[in-house]
Amino acid sequence: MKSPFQILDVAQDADDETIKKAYLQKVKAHPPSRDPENFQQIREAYELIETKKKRIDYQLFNQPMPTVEDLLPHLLANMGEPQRPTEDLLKTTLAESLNDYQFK
Amino acid sequence: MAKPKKKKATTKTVTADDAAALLEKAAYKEAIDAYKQLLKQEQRPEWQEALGKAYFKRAEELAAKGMYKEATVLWENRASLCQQETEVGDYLIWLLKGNRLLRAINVFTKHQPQLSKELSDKLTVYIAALLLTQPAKTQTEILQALPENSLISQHLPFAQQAITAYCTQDDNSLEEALKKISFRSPYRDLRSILKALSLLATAPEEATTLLERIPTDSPFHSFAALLKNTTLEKNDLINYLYQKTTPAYAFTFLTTVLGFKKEIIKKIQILQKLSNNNPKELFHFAINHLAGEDKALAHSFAYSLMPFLNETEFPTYEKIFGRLPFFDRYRIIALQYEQQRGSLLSVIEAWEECIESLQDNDPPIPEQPLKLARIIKRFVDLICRDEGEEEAFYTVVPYLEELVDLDPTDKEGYLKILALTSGNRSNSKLYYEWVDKTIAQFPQDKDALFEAMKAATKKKAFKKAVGYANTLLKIDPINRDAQNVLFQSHLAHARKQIKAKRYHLVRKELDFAMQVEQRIQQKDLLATLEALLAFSQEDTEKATDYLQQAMALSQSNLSGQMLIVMEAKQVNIEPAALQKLLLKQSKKPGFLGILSASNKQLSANFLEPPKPTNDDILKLCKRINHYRQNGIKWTVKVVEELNNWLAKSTKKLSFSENELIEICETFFQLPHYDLLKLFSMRGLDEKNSHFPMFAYYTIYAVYYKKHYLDDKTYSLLDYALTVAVQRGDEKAKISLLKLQRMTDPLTAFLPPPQKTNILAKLLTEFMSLLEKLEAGRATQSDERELQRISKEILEITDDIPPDIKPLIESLASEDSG
Repeated sequence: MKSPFQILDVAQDADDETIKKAYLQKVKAHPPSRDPENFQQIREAYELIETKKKRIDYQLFNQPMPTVEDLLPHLLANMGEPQRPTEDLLKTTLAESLNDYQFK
Repeated sequence: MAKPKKKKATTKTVTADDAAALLEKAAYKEAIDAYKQLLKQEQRPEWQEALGKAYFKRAEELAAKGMYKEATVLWENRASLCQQETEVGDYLIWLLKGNRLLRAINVFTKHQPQLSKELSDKLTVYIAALLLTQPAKTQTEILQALPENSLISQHLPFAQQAITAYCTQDDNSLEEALKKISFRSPYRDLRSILKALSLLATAPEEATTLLERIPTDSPFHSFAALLKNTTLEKNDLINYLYQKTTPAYAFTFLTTVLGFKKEIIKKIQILQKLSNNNPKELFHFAINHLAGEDKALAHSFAYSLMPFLNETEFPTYEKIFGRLPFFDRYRIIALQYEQQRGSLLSVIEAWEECIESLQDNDPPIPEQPLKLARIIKRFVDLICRDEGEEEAFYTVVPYLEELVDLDPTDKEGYLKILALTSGNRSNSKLYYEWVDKTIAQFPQDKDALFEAMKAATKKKAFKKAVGYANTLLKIDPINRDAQNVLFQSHLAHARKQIKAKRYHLVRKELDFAMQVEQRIQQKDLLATLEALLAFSQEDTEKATDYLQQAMALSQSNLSGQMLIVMEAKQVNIEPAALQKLLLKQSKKPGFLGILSASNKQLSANFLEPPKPTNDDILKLCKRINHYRQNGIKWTVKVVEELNNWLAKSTKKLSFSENELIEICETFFQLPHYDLLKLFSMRGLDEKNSHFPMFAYYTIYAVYYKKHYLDDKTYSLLDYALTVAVQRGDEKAKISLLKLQRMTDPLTAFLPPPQKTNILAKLLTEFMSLLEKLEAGRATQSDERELQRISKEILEITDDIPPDIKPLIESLASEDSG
């Protein structure tokens, strides 16, 4: 899960004005009518850090528990180069995928 | 001992009707047996046909369960026993899915003309694809079984060549081979797939387009769909791979094609096996599998997990990442206790350590006062949640004072102090002081103005109240509370002027009140004041008229009488004098009959009303609440006059649970213990959803009336508490716990001042540790804790019951070793 600072693309020590500006820019890019899901996320992030008090509360008490989903993207940071499979692997995969095929 | 002989199954003779019934109700297996039996008796064509149908339906059932081989056997039985060779398409599919490839090719070659073109095409592509995956020997056998001019036989070498070329990165040969696969070829979709695969690294968008071209009903579609995952965004791709539903073959293929390192694959596989986001497992994953390569990532991940673990993980954490700063350590401990719903004392102690650590900073860190204030606010909220606001008063108010001192903009802090002090009669001075501080800090704030207005009304400082109400109405012109205060203030002034016999001023106040009344809707109150003014001016006719109006507007005799009695007494007029006027009027023809037919004197102030309805009682409650909230302490005395009458006259009324709760709450707040008990006992049925609350009201009334509880009532308290906990009824749970503490002989000796709650908690912990010690279950750390608590109890109070004092003293003085 991204932190509200990451969602709004602001630094941890950003002030009220910077955060509000960033929030409005994000809302402009993801208006509720066109992109309700992202808008909701942006709105929730803003509500968590819009004032100094809220930011302190977030840093002291409200940070959510990190999950596997937070960790997985980091694992991809050192991904290798694409490779070609062996003939065997390609054919085995094709055979397995044919098992899933439904004629009707 | 000889084996018991198996009983020979007695076969029941089957009739044609039985067999037909089995077929009808889709019991195909049994229908097959039945028709076989019938056909043994006589070869009838219709039975043979029915047997064929049963065979085929049963085969379909088995195929649906993935038992393709069994399905093909049944189809073959049908063909031989019933001479039925229809539904060849299904048979072919089952043969292919059951891996009877050679038989499938033979059947396909023989029956192809009978198949629909669509199915025939699909089967051709499927066989072609399947053929590619077979070992060389099987391939040769199948090619021999296929007609010489078959497209499969002709194009298989090109497809094979293309696969080899792609896998060995020989792109020239790949291009060459792909060119040979024509549009009519059963390998047409494979051609797009291989082309896409070769473009993955250099032109992923083009690759996606090619993959999207594969029709959804093509046998190659699943393979193409799997390959499309390689073009996903990183996060989506990793989430797909992490899903437990992702097939193992898809995982292996994708991670290979995308060039995942072995270590990453291993990590993903470990993560897949972890319980669903269990913090401890994730923490140990970070320590064991991340810290070695990416310490910074492991550190930040493990650190964020710490509040969701327990203290036992500190050594592991600190061994890898070094010692945590003091403040961080205690912040994490406090959050851990909060998460685990540990004892409130431990949570507060941990937060207090954080505060001390912050205060030790020299020079102070940026935003230090605000951080301190937020931490104080945190545990104030926790104390209030744990103990209930009223109970938390003594502990919390000093903290709140510190909080607003550190952060004067914390309006919530000010309002909380007001909320806590307003209900506490012994602290009215403190309350009014804080009202002044609040309004001085937030002079134009709606909430602060409301509180100031409320306090001024309570103090009967009506001019001040009107001032605040007017300021509030400037900010919020439709504020009903402000309108109500204005209305009540004008009436209060009117009452004062009646008493002072300045009747022209009464008129003025009532006229002002009338202007506000349009929005307040308290015409009955206004009519009563008019009656009192007329009565004071000895205009009995006008007074009677207004009294009648007030009674009619009250819409309830009982509530109307209560109104008149309460208002008359406030201006020193005897209610009995007003009764006389009403009685006289009631004897006149055409009177509305709002008074009872008997018109008997019920008490000094009341005439006996007609038999009450539920609505009458609820209206009476509203009236009582109104006067209690307006600070008229003698309301309870007036209610006392109705005590016996209410007990008798409401016997036959049946109240809903919510009505009963409303009534109980009225007499609880007033308080009137007899009436509270009278009504709360009516709700003491376990089936009632508010049963624990009714039990609380009943026990509360008993305790305050008698100052002790008998065993039966204690049992009711225990039981109601259990039910409240089971049902998650927080309000009842907190109230009953409070009552339990109050009535517990062990803690009842404690004095009420500031440290009562802490003492009560210490004693509870003391008793639980003592029980453990006596049962031989106490650890060394429990014993140390017991000693610490004993010392703390002795520091807080000397007034300990003699039966436990020596024990506490001896435990406190024991050598800690």
